Amino acid sequence: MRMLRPGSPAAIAVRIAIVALTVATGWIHLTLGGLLFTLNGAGYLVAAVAMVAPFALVMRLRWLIRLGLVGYALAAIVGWYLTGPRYDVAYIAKAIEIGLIALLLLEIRSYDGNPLRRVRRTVAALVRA
Amino acid sequence: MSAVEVRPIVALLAVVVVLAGCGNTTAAGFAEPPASLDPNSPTLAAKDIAFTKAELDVPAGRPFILVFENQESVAHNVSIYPEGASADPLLLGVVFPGPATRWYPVPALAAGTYVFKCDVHPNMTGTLRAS
Repeated sequence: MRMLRPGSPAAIAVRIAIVALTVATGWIHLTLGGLLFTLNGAGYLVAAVAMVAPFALVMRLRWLIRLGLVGYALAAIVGWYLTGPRYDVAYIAKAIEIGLIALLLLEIRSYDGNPLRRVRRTVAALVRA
Repeated sequence: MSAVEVRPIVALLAVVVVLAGCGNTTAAGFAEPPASLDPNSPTLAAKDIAFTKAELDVPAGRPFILVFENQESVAHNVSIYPEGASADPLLLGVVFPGPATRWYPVPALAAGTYVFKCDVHPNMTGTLRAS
């Protein structure tokens, strides 16, 4: 799979698509009602904002936000697989989450390098501090 | 990130989702009342992410129609499970947003106690007595 170049039209399109998919699945979860779905939907919306917020701290931690969002979407898919209802809206939400994970992995591969090495480096830096 | 190949991971996830949809009982529910509808058919409603009844009495030993009125825009359904089970429903009602009504064809149930619940909201549950 081709790597993304920061600032290129392809990279911008991928980022827009990530935000759009995150908002879409967040909105779907918000419409389902109940505390769990509402929190899940709110989490997606916060992540969508974090993916584009132009603040230095957020930009520095964007690799972590990407990883977190992959984990969040994976958890949503696994949770649905184990206990979720099988109906059209659920399938749409899961398809969106799979697309979201694909695009996030593409960004991770292009911008962040090996996530394990990155986590190890960050933990080491925190321990030193 | 050479260790992480995007395509196989995404393909695996897609397979999981597709497989999750296979092998389930097909959801049932009429959008219009059947012509043979018994006026005394059991009824149930949902509002504020809750069923309006915690207990439901139904006839045993013969199929019947369960009238389910979803009074809110949030999607709900009704499924019937043997007591203590959360798989292999005896009725898997179609999920739909309201306000709307569906008429669920329930197969004959042996006399006894069952659980009815909304598959979207697992906290929405009640006891169904067939007698």
